[in-house]
Amino acid sequence: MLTLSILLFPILAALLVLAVGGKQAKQIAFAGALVELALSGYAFLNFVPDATSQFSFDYPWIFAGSIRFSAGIDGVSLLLVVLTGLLTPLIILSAFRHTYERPAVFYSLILFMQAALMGVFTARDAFLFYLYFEAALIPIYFLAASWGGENRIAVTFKFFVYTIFGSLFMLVALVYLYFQTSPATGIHSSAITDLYNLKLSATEQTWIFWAFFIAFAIKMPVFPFHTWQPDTYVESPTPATMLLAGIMLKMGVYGVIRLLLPIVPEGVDRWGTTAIVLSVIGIVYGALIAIRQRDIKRLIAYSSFSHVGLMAAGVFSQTSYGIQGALVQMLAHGINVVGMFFVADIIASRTNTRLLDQMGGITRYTPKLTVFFMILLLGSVALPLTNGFVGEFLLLAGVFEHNNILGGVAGLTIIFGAVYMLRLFQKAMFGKTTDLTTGFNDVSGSESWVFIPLCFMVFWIGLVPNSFLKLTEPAVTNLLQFIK
Amino acid sequence: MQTDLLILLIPLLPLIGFIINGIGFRKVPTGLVGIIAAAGPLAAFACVLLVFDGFTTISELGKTAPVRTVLFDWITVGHFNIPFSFQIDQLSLIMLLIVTGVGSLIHIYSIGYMKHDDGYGKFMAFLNLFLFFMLLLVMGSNYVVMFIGWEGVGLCSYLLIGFWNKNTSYNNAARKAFVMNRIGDLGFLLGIFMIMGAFGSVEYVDVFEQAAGFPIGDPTVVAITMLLFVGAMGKSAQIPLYTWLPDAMAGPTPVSALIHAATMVTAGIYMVVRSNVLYTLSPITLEIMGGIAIATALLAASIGLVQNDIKKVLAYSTVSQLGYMFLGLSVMGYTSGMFHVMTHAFFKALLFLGAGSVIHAMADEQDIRKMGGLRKYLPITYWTFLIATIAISGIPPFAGFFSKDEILMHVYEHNKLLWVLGVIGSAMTSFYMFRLLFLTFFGRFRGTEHTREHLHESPASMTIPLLVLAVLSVIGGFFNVPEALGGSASLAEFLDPIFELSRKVSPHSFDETLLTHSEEFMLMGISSGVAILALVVAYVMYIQRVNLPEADTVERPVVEKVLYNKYYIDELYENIIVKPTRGLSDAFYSFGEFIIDGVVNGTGWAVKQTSGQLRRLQTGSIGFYVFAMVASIAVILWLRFFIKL
Amino acid sequence: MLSIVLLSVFGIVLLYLGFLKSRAVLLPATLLFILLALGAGFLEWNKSYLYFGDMLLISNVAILFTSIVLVSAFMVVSLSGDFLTDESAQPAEYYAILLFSIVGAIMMISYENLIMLFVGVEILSVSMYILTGSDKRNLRSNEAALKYFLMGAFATGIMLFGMALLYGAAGSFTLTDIKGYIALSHGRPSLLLYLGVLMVLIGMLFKVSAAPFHFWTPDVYEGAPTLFTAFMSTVVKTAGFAALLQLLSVAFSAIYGFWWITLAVITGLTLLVGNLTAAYQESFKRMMAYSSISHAGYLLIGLAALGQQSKQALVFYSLAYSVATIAAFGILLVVSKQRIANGQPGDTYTAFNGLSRQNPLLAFILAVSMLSLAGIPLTAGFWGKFMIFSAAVDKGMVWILVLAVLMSAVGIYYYFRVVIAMYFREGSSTQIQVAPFYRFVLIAATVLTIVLGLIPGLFQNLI
Repeated sequence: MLTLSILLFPILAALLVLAVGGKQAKQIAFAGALVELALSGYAFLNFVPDATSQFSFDYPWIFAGSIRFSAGIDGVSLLLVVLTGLLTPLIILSAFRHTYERPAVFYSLILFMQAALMGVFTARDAFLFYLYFEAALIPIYFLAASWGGENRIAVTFKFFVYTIFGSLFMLVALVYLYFQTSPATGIHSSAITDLYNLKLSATEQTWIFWAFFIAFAIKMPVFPFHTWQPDTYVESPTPATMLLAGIMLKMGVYGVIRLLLPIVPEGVDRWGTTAIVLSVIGIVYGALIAIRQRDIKRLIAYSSFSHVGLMAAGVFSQTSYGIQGALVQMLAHGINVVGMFFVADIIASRTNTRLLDQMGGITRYTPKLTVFFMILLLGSVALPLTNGFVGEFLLLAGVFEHNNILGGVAGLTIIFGAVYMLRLFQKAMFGKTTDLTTGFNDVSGSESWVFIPLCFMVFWIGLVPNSFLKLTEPAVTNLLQFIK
Repeated sequence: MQTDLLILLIPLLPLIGFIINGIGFRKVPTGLVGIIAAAGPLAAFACVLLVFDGFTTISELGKTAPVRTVLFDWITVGHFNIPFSFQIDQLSLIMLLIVTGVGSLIHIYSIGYMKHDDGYGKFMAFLNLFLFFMLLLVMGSNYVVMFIGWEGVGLCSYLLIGFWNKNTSYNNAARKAFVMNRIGDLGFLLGIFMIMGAFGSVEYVDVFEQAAGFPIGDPTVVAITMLLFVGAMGKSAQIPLYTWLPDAMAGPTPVSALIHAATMVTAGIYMVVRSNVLYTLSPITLEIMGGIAIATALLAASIGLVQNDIKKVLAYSTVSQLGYMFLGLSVMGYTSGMFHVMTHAFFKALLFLGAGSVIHAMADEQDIRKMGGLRKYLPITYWTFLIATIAISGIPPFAGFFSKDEILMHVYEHNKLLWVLGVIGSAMTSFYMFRLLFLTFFGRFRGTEHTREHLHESPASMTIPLLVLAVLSVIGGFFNVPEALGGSASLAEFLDPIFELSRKVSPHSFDETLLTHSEEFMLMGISSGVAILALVVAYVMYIQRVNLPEADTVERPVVEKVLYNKYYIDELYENIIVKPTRGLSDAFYSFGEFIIDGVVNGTGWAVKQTSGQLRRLQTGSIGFYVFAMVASIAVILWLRFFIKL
Repeated sequence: MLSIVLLSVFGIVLLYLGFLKSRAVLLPATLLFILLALGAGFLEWNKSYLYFGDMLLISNVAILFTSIVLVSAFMVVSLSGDFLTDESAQPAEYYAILLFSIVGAIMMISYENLIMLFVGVEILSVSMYILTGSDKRNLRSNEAALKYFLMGAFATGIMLFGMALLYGAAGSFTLTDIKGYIALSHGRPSLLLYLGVLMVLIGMLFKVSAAPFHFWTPDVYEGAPTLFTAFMSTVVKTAGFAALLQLLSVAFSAIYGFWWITLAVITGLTLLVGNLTAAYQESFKRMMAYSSISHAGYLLIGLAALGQQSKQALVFYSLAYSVATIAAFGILLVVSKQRIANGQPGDTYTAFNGLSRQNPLLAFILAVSMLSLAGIPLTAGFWGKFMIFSAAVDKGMVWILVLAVLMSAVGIYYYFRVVIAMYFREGSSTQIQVAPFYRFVLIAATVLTIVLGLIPGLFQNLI
């Protein structure tokens, strides 16, 4: 029942926001998101670390119950539920500083988005998963295209068509798999666990691998399916960018763990290395591009692309390091990237520019922002004792275990990451002040309250990662045993 | 339990200092900042002494095994566990003494040096944070905890080099340091991964125990040691990753003393000594290490010969001395390497602090061409600087002589050519150090009148650490006096348990020296003779003939020009690494993205074009429509009935 | 059968009502008649009667298709308020013809004898020819009517030829007899039968505008008054597919191996042509014409992969498609009227610019319709596609599925251009008003689309 509440509550909250509307919209949305945070926090605290799905519910839905409305939380989904629950109120709070036109619609879309994301992460039925996977696109598309930058229409349209295009392949694969279940009785099932037990031939595995891979690779994105991403991140309003980078791209990684690995293990054996190669290319490619970016949001966008490449590579390594690392890193990356985009938003809106060469010397005016920025930056460059390290360490260990050379190349991320992140920090915060940065206001109270939980999480995950790893452990072990 | 608490307190105390001064930056009263900041390291030093005392008491009972303190399980994945734990043994104790001891002195010194800076509180906080990470590095009982400290000290180094962050070139230097360190760190990290793969654990105890069962030259171990050595190259500034260290002098001078001379940069040596079993198993790595070490030592020393910035000379000297330490390690003279780490910490910290005192007096002037005759104005600084110079030059009986001599002795046993090169380097060391000393403190004052009026000896908080370090620089060598001189080699004895497994793996390498005492005397004589000779040359050049280094604009002879421009290595890196990387970045961004996105957009474009062409079929002419229909029917019938599929 | 009788009678009654001075009674009367026919149809639920000398068979599937047709008609009629105020229009005749055409459609749906199919097709087609040309002062409308008539006549001829051939082979027009003949021929039926099958198929494929017999569609759809375009693209299509389903599943299921490849190729072609051409259009109405071709393609998948899933899939898809299409056309009617009044182009994409501010409700309804047509989840259209895809997978026709999926992506492109225009482009600031009943029907259509999107199993037990 808890999961059901987690799924339905944001929708109710969103409808309430729409109904009340006006100036109260953001407060109601924030309150709603806090309640949702409490719900996911409750799930986190009461989760029993084993391989089962908990707090689950299951109702027959379509075709006499062969497609079911069933959801639950297991070790693989738990951290993502927590992430979604945690980030949404912060994203809403971070939007407080702007006045958006039609606030009721704006904030309700964020809550709808949250509902869809929660759905993706908890669905236990393949078609339910797919529905949420697609449904998540609608609110984010409207958010990005309605409140975005100048070039938003063309950019978000491309994003929308591109990502839907990818997921249609997944639909084909799912329909196909659905009809492979219990052919004798003719009563099919789309429960994800039933799909796990299918015996597929090598050819089938190959095809389905690629169908899934393209869907998830576009979503994450993995090289070379990423070209929608920088533009979309740049053009979207910052809350939408945060949703995209902080949570939505994790749908792809999650999808790989949830569906791709266990359903087509042979396909992964055969093609996993190809996928890792693509991911690793993306790591280096994205990081290299980030080094020279002048636009602060675009820089973070490329860094996010680079980071997610590592998660993909780790997952495809099929090692417990890689998968555990990916799970922790999804949480960590969500926190860091949302924080970074918030920093970018604060700087950009106060200086009226996103270009690094026009900034400088901000640190003179902003002790608080400097500290928050530095902490998030350290998380992003994976300094030990921050959240980024645990994830990257395990991910790299996983890729390295799979293939030493690929692991070594993937490891370049820690060098390039330092290069572009420090450059970002230096150009914005250090050096001489410019006309635009003179008299920069330090973060205000409500802005601080976005940063404080994020920074707290940076250290919590970095110092005591086991409080998360322990929860995901049994599920991952179970998954790996199943694959092998 | 008592010991556990003490052990825990060691890193915790500086951390508390960091938190108070860091969070309370600009709120803690200036007077209190220094007390809080210095109290942490001093108390930690006290704890170390207590632990040391306890440990030696235990070890007299024959229990030389390391004391491990597990705080909590940090990262657990499956059966693999990385505990957050500390290991206290002979090696970490020596390092702890150096780090907290020298660290405390430098903290005290910094109070005087930085008091008037805007960022005083921040500075002291960062120093404390550095100490915390350095202690983690040294105390960690596994490679990953060491890595925490390893990266952490890199961060602090970054923060402190770029401490005066309004200056872009300082920021660039800081970034360069961090990035170059990261290159090394990647090697370290990959080394850790290989260790995880080969041994299933990262705990020293487990790893070394298992490693002892491996044959010499095992490829996995070779790879591990190579990768770890890459890490050491970054942190300890060896070729090719050394260029950050001279630039790191942008930081305030106490930072140079603490981080970039006495402690952090020796982390690489510490790591190799810590992993001595692995290195003993991998002679190839040691050979390579030896080559790199001697090359670094000579290269840096030769650059040091002609530098005119007081801190730059010391920086190159540090690089060069680090080369000596690795040289010692490369011939399995692990103790001699550690010995040199220790003595070097004393005299190099002293040199930097002395330089800081000079810079302080000279109102931030660092160019030795504008100094001269300072011994009159800064007597304490002068005398302590002189002691340190003698110590580093390897003139007996000061500290440097013993440690360097021990290294060279091991090298001589191993490879005569390396020894010759080492002696040449030692001559260069002596030359550039005395050159520095003479130009700074002797002759007449060459600065402006304004500066001359400003000249004054530094306050007590700065001179007391100088005096303490001077004493240590004098007597530091006696901790490990060779047998030939009737010494007891107590450091070697103390550290012996650390090398137990190495000895087991390769007993011959640890045999008693084959050199006779007379040979040893000869070696000592040669090296100290050479050093004194270089001293004399420097004296002749800079005191008798009063040669002054020329201004930067003057055309120099080719060799000197190459040296003065540091062999153009920075330019070389700029051209072969930095610029291509930038070029690649730009190419990817403009060209790569264009192509990939072009394919995506091209697909859309192709669909639209097809669409445009298909649309043309819709002519609106009914005749065509009927024709198309009939033709289609014909095709269908033809396909259906006349083609056998 | 009751529906046929009722509608015929009501049609005549309507013609008489046309003599009344007040036109106001016409619209409610027509709606009432349609509702009555709808209710009457369900009286025969679960009974499976044969009527009219065994020439009509009223089965449950037939009743469902009939209901879709009637619901579509109901919606189209309720959007026709403008006729009553238009001086030059003859609403009584239009409504009567509409009712008659529905009779034709029902006959196409529930025929058991090929003669009935032919009669039904002709009633429906002739009605459509008239309605297409009903805007007499509009040259495009006249041209469209003529084109439709000429092409339609040609196609009917071919179909009739095919029926004759079938009769020649089987000696009967009854579907069961033809089936029996095929069964007795031990897999070697006469060549006449094969030829006949192809000819009849081609005739019907013309009616549902499958490529390469689709050429009339864009011109006719664009030329016809929008309301009748809506009627054509839903009622005619539903009836046509019901007829094809009946023909293929009852009479020719035994020679599936013969016709499926042909049908599959045509399916692929239809998908390609419909979607690709739609992508280039600047006129919304013309885009909808191509969209109707593309949806014919998806529906054809259900036939080409004839199996257990097909019936359910076709019924569901027809319903989802019809509801969304009529809602879309309904909004086009309102918007283009307002735009033309302002002297702007009435049926291009740009006509919808800024609709979300001029009338958020209309924008939302149109957006939902577009999402449904594009097959985005949580709308009826998604489950329609899903069931069609299921049918294809069940038959192992994965390649056609891949094509369909690729074309869906193209579909998203052109449907979303409408959404973009409505929500993200600046338009004039004039508000657009809609009559309450009109609004009610549109809302009902949207609710149905969403409800079917959430609970597609709602009517599942009926099949």
